[in-house]
Amino acid sequence: MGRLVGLAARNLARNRRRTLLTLAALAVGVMAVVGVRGFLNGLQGMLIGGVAEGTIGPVLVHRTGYLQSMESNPLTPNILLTPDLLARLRAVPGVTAVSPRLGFAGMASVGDETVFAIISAVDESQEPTVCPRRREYLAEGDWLQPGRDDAVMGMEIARGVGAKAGARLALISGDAEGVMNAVDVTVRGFSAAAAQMERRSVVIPLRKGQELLRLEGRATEIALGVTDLSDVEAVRDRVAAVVGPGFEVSTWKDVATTVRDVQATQNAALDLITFIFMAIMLMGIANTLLMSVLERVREIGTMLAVGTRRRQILGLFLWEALMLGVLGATLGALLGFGVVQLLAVKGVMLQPPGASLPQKIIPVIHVVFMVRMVALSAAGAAVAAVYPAWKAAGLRPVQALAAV
Amino acid sequence: MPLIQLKDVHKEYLLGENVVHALKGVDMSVEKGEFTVVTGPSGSGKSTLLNIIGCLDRLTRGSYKLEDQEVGQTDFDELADVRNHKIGFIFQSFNLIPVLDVLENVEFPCLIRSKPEPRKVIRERARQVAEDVGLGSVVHHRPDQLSGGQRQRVAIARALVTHPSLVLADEPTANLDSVTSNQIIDLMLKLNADKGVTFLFSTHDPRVTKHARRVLSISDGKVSEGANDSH
Repeated sequence: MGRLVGLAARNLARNRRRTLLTLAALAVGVMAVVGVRGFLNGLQGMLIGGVAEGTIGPVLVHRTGYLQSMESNPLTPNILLTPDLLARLRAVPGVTAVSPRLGFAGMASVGDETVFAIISAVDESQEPTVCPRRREYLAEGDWLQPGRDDAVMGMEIARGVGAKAGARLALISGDAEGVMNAVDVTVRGFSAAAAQMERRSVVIPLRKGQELLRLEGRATEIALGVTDLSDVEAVRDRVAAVVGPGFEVSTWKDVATTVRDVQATQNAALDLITFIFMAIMLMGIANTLLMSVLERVREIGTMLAVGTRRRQILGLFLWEALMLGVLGATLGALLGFGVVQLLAVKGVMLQPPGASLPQKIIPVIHVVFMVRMVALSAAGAAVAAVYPAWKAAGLRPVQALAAV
Repeated sequence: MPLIQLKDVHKEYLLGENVVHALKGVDMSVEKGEFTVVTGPSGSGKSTLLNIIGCLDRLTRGSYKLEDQEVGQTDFDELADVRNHKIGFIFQSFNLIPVLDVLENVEFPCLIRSKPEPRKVIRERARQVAEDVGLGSVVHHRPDQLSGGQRQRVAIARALVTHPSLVLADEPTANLDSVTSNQIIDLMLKLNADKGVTFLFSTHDPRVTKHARRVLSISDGKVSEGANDSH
């Protein structure tokens, strides 16, 4: 076999220009796929980070049935926040912070201006640990200070009511029985929205939310921070075992289905692009090898005459294809890696739909993906070589030797 | 026991819609150590006969025994083994592998065997054979760096490296000038005389024919014992 491998390598070097062109085509294709994958990884990382570490939180605990009824009845069933429950949640391996929340809709009013608002009442000290990006999204002012009646408003809603830093903001909502109530808070900061729905957000301390909704000591959900975002499913399962059947535990993926669907759609689109690239590139390899077979008919006849077996001829051309595939794809993967690294130095600024401000995308590529691309190219090249190789191996010595 | 024995060998093939009867009942045998020439006009069936004897093609009917083994209807892979172990080929156009140097071309038939000998043994033998045919100083040259005569010497070395029972040479001097042709013929005569290599030629070249110890004539698909005027 070693002899065939060496011979295959020399055959590739025989027509350098053609081999280099084929390699270049393959390399450019793989580089493009790796580059796009790197960019998508960065984009998806930004979206996922925004959701899992910016608004929703990695793992969420609700009363069983809450997620089904939250649209019609966002305040029940709710959770009684006992010290024992919170302590048990904090003790779960992989959990870094526990932030009870109330999420509800209401009216926000500054002076004579009143607008509809989506209000989150959060534990002001725990929330930045559960969702560290909340501070990153702060466009102006400060995050909630413990013990103070502050609010952080979305930039758009703040503009809508003409709220400036230090303004008194009245929040009005109905409690669990539908009885209206109101609380006053001071606007402390303004946050940029990472998505459309956050443009109308107002974040207040949990205790002000409990006061507004007359739900002292209660929350509608508990958000949990995790040590490793890629490990959320394992944390979810451990938490579910700790809290028991009266609760349902979800990850951000279970709740933010839109992000998951967007991610799946993007991945499917990239797979399709990859497939098309690969098909075109592999047709190039098949063409290169077919030309090579046609040029070497007599040589193949000589090899057959001196006793080379058909499967060795087949192997020779498959090796040539494999080498082209592996070399071209490796070159392309390395170039793609270089492009991704280059873009990652400064990042790519992009404003996602619905977001208030452009966000920085840091493209990232994983070695596993590059190895998979090389393996895919090699396998594809071998498949592309089957017909030319079969054609070469199927030659009869007499016919091949008679070729001009 | 003859080295090769053909009995009532027929070869037919299709040319368009016509059946061409290239060999029409050939009976012939060649003994070990012979230096035999097959002559005949173009289209007489010389090449077809050599292809059958060289196991490059299969006969339509009849019997062909090589070293008492029936090979006329053997399958493709077995024929490849027979060619590799028992037959050496020298072609009119040399037919060297252009990406391999002289030594690599010579050792190629040994390396493609399913159970090759150790690489060192093969290399040593290839070097020896290359020296025997006068290529000692150019063993690392590629075919395109060699003259026509040198290329044919490489082909001869490649044909001999497996110690075949029979060497078939199809018009081996057709592409060489007269001086080089004579050198090549002398080399083959020497190998025949010194090492007992059996040669079977197909040629039009009277310079080859005059050295042959036996001449077979082929005409219209039939072989007859021919006279060699020079002997």
